[in-house]
Formats: sequence, structure tokens, C-alpha cells
Amino acid sequence: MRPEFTPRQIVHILTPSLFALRNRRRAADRVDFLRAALFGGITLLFSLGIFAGFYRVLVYIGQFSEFTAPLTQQILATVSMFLFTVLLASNVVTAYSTQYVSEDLSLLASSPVPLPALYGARLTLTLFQSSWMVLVFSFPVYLAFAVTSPAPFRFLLAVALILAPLLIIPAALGTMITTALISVFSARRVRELLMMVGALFVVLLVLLIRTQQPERLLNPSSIYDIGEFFSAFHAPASPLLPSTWATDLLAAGRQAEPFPWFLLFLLYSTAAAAVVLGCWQARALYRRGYSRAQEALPARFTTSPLVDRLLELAARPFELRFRSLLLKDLKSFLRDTTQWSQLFLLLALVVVYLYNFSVLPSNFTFATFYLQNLFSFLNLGLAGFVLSAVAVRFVFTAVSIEGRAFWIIRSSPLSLRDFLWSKFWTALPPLLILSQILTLVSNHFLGASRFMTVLASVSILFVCFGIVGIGVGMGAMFPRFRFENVTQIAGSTGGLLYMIVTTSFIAVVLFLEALPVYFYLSAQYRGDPLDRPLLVTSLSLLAVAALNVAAVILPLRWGQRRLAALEI
Amino acid sequence: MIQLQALSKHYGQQVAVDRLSLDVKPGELFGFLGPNGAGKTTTIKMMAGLLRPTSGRIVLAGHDLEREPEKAKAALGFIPDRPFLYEKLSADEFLQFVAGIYGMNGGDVTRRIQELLDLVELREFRGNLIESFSHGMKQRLVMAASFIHEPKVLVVDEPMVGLDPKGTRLIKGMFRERCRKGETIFMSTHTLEVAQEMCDRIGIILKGQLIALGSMDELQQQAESKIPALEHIFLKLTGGDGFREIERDPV
Repeated sequence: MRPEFTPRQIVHILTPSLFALRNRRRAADRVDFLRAALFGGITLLFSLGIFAGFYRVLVYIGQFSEFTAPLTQQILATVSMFLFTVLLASNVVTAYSTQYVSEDLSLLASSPVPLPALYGARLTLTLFQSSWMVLVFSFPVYLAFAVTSPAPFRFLLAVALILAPLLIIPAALGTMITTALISVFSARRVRELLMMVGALFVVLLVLLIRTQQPERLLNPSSIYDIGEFFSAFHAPASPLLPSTWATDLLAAGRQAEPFPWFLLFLLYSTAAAAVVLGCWQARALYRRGYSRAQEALPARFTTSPLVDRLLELAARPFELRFRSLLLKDLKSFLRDTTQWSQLFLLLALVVVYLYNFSVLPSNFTFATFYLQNLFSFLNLGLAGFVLSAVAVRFVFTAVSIEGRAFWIIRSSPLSLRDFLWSKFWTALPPLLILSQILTLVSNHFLGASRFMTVLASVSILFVCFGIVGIGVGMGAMFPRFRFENVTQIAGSTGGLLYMIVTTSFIAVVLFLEALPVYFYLSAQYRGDPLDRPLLVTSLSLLAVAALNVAAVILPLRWGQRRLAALEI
Repeated sequence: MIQLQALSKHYGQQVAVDRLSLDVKPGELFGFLGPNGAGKTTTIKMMAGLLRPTSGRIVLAGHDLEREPEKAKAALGFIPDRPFLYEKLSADEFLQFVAGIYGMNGGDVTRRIQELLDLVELREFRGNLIESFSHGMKQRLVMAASFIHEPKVLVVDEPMVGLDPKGTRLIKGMFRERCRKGETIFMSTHTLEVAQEMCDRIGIILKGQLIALGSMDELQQQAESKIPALEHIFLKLTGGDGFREIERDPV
């Protein structure tokens, strides 16, 4: 009997993705390579940091022979459970896109491709898309375990053995969860749910990790801190969970104990069973689910008459054209669940930023006056950098987010100048509020003097104008109207250049303000009157204000020229 | 009402539109035809202000598009071939937005939006987000948006694409009504039956150059065609395999 499908069919369905990858590499220019090198460098640094952290903790644990084995096992269990959970969540979200809403699916779904082949190909795609990043960042963790192990190669062999099933099981389970959800709810509802739950999951994870103060592990004063830290994340280890089997295998490998082969058999057989079950489920539910994914139901969670009414009331005092653009932007923003996840992350970023200041060592407040105020000054740069990071996502994207509907603006009598200024004034207030929260609260925790607090507050106020002006202007100079996800705009070459420009801009502001801070600290140290520092401060702030006026006007003008010359 | 004066557009070495000159009178429905890649959409995009001409002038309702872009665009309604819209707005909100950027406000606008939604038969979907609309519904919504400020000039690229027979009939009726009121319509289309049935005059463009211009009778004379069908005239004038095929087998 002829088989219903062959592995070659799966490879054939995957060829467009492989060709696209190859063609993108071929078409890459110098800027693409530069960007890849930069992101590669950041990834490497981050990986080194992860490796150093785990290495230090494991070496430290190694000094206490009676605790070493149970604690290492606990850390391994936490890592395995964490990876498994993240992979499962990532696969659920990715499967929604690869299995149900990808544009090439209409061609595949209408062609005589056997369903198991389609399922196999899309499962492979889901697995790669959702797992590569987890894999990259888990490598330094396992490397740290290997180099601190009495049997490093045996441990790495154990990692190699568990890797395939540990990736396949969450991919198959994630796909099954998505298929089940789509067979019950509509695709749009599932998307809204996934976006909200996914964002909350990430935020909670970030907050949980941060509030456990992982820096304690780099300077451990007590072995109990480590146990306490990991037990905060440790879920009850069930003997039925694949992550528990993986942990036992890794622990055996690390201690050079005999491999529990039965657990390895369990891992592989579970992976195979999950794929087969997924295929059965796809046979039963996929066609119906794909059909439901085409249905366009009105949004439920993303529209609220009350919110709309409030927005309209808030926008009422503004001039008609600005009001129209403002309402359009705000409503589109609030109704887009992909934007919510970014908002949640932003909130987590602010909380973590401020929390870092609140958990400074308790003896910090007794540190010198000089140190406190120097930190407050340097915090200005840090807050500026955080604002740039927020702006690259929400301000730099402001023009590109018009998307392919930009023809409406271009063919209307609204001038590009008014359009860009409208974007500027829409983005400025939220960033101003954020900047003041970041500086005032962190300066409060630092115990900075009133002079430094006022200087930082006024400076960051000016800097906000510059960051928003450069953001809107550069967003217009490097527009990207065709995108699938807004994060692609922020991650584009223009976004990268924007980060470089704003970082340099903040450095110039810090340079301009270094002199008044120096005069102030010197005067305080010597007990001199503050007349001279105040005069220098006024002149410095004037220079910062002038710099920011230029940072608003020039990029907006250049952006306007670029948009006018742009052919859409 | 519409003047194109020696309009050209070059993409590097390639000439998309070559010294195109046209004059469309008030109240006229002008059909702009040509094979794929002839330069129709490029011309239309230049008229809508989406592309800048390499040389030449575009005058809409007496305003030079380059010198007085805001005034020229205020007189223009544009309907593109593909209706990309703000998907997260409802139909009602989208029309409010368009009215706003054309400087229209108040109770009159609300009334006008109701009328237009009735006209394009979208009233019952007015509160639904555009992302849930079909292609045809989006196309009808774009039409409503283009009418909102009562433009003197309407530039339309392929209006019948993706529309059902009812939608096609609706649009034909709307276009006729607007021309009767003195509005000028410049319409590019591949649907030759529609062009023959509706247009007062027709221009045919080939390789960026206007090769024929006039009413149906005038085009028939220019093409020296005995058959008074636009399809025959068009294929004869634009040449190629299509014409040789119908010459061999007219049926």
C-alpha cells in the first residue's frame, strides 16, 4: 500500500521558508551585516553574563559538598521547568501564526497536500521559530553546568540526548493547545487571549525574577540565599513531567552516574506520541479550525464604548485635524493587542528600573554626599537611555504605523508638516510623564540633593523633546509601511540608527551638564556660596534647551522632506 | 477641470509615462485604458499626489498640484485599486477621521456620513471594525470616504475589482449621478464593457504614451475598426497577440 505521505513532502512544503532564508542572506547588504554583528555582539555579551552568573553560583555551591548535589539538582530542575514552560508558551503563540494565519496557508490548504504532511511541515516551522532563541540562551546555562561538572562531556552528552524531545514535546503540545482553542473560539478571540496571557506571563516572570534579587547570587553571603532564590521559582516536580525526566537525566550525567535509560526512552516515546496525537487531532479539527480562522468576527475585548467616549471627550479641546489624527492613533493603538503586550513590558521595565533603586544596599544612604549626587547625575543618562528604548518602540514607529493606509494622508489636503507635528504632540505627553516618574522617584530613592533633583527633572524634560523630535523625524526618514508586526519597525536599520543617534544625543546633554554639576559639588565640598554654580547651571540648561530645539526642528524638517519625496 | 501637461515619470532608465497631455472637462466621465504596465496606475498615483512627476504639470480644479498641493487635494477624491485602510477603526470612525482631515466638522458631517453609509449600503456595519470587512465592503467604504468632502474631481483606479454585480451596479449609478452634478471623474479600468457603457471619452495609453483619445465613435475612426466594440478597438490599437487572435477568430 502506498504511504499517505512521505517525509519528502514535508521537506518540499518547507522549501519556500528555506529559500526565503537563503535569499535574505544573499540580498543582505553592509548595513544588514552591521546590524547582525551588533545583535550578535549583544547576544554574546548577554550569554557571557548568563554563563558568568551560573558559573559563579555553581562554583560557590561546589564548596559545600553536603549541599552540592541537592542544590544543583534543584537549580537544574528550575532551569528545565523554566525552559519547558517558556517553550510551551512560545509554541502556543507561534502555532497560531504558522498553522492558521500565515498568508501562504491559502495556497497549501487549497492544494492536494496530505494533511499529515502539512501538519508535519508546520510543526517543524513552529518548532524552529519558537525555539531558536530559547536554545541560544540556554546554551551558556548548560555550558556553566558542564564546566563545573566532574564529568563535563557526559553532561553535554546528556544535554544533546534530551534536547530533541525537550523541543518536540512543547512544540506538539503547543500546537495541540492552539488547535483546541481555535476549534472552540474564533481565531481572533484566540489571538486576543494569547496576546494578553502571553504579555502577562512575561511581565510576571520579569517581576518575579527581579524581586528575587538575582544579584545576591553573584555575591552570595549565605548558601541558603541560593536555595531560597531557586525555590521561589520551583514548581512541584511531578514524576510525570518531561522536564523532571530531563532533570534526572542531566543530574545523572553531571554526577557521572549511570544514565536512567528508561527516562530517556520515556522522553523520546512521549515526543513521538505527542506528534502522533497532534496529527490525529489535526485530522479531526484542522480543516474546521482553518475555516474558522478565515471568519472575521467583530472584536470583543478590544473595543469599549466607554473608552471611546472618554477618548473623544479628552480630545475635544484640540484643533479638528489634530483631533482626528489623535483619535485615530489612540483608538488604533488601544485596539491592537500586540501593542498591549508592549505596554505591559514597558510597565514592567519601569517597575524594575525603580525597584533597582529601592533595593540599593541599605548603607548606601550613608555614602558620601558626593557619591549620591554623582549617581543622580549618571542616572540622568540611564533614564535618557530607557526613554530612548521606549521611544524607539512607540515614537520612532509613529509614522510607519500608518502602514499601507498612508495613501489616505498623502492624497488628503493635510500637509506633511501638520501630520508630523501631530505625531510629535501625540507622543510627547506620555514620554514627559514617564521621564518625570523615572527621575523623581529614582532621585528620591538615591537621596539626591534638591539641586540635583531639580536639575535632573528639568534636563530630562528637555531631553524628552529631543528624543520625541528625533523619533518622529527619523521615523519619517526611514519609514517602513509594509510590516507584519510593529516590532519589525523598531528593529529595522532606521530603529538601530535612532538608538545610536539618541544615545549620542544624551551623551552630549550629559557633557553639557557635567560642568555645573562639578561646580555645584565643589562648592558644596568647600562650603562656598552657590552663586557661581547657579549661573553656570543656567547657561548649561540654556545650551541644553537650544540643543533640544534643534533636535526637534531639524529631524522633523528632514523627515518631512523625505516623506514628500517618497513614492508610495 | 483636470489638466495633465507634458507629464512624465521615469524610474531610472525606464520611462513609465512619457509627455502625457490631457484635458478633462467638468462633468465628464473619462476612461483611461491601457494594457498592464502601460503607465495607468503611475499616472493616477501622480494625480493623487502619491508619486512625484519627473517633469510636467498636473492641474486639478484650477490648482497646480506641485505649487498648491493642499488646495488641489482638497478638490480631489481618490479611490485606489487596493483599499488599504485603518483596520482598527469602525466604518463610522473612519469616515469621521477622513472628514476631520478635510476640515469638516459638526452635525452636517454626521448627517453626511449616514447618507454615504446608506448610499454604499454599509449602514448596518457602521460600528464594525474595518478589519472584519470583505474586499468589496472596504472598496465601498473607500468610495464613501472619497465622496465625503464633495470633491470636484474624482480619480479612480480600477473601481470594479472585487465587487459583486450589485456593487458594480451601485457604483455605476453613483458615478453617473456625480457627473450629472458636474463632478469630473477620471477612471482607469480593464473592464472594457464598463468603459464603453459609461465613459464620455476614453484615452488609451501604451508604453507611457497616449495613443488614442476621443468618444467611442472617434476611437472607432482612429482605429479604422468596422466593429463598434471597445474590446476590438482596444486590441487593434494596442496590438499584440490578442488582436491577431481575434482577427483570426472574431467569434
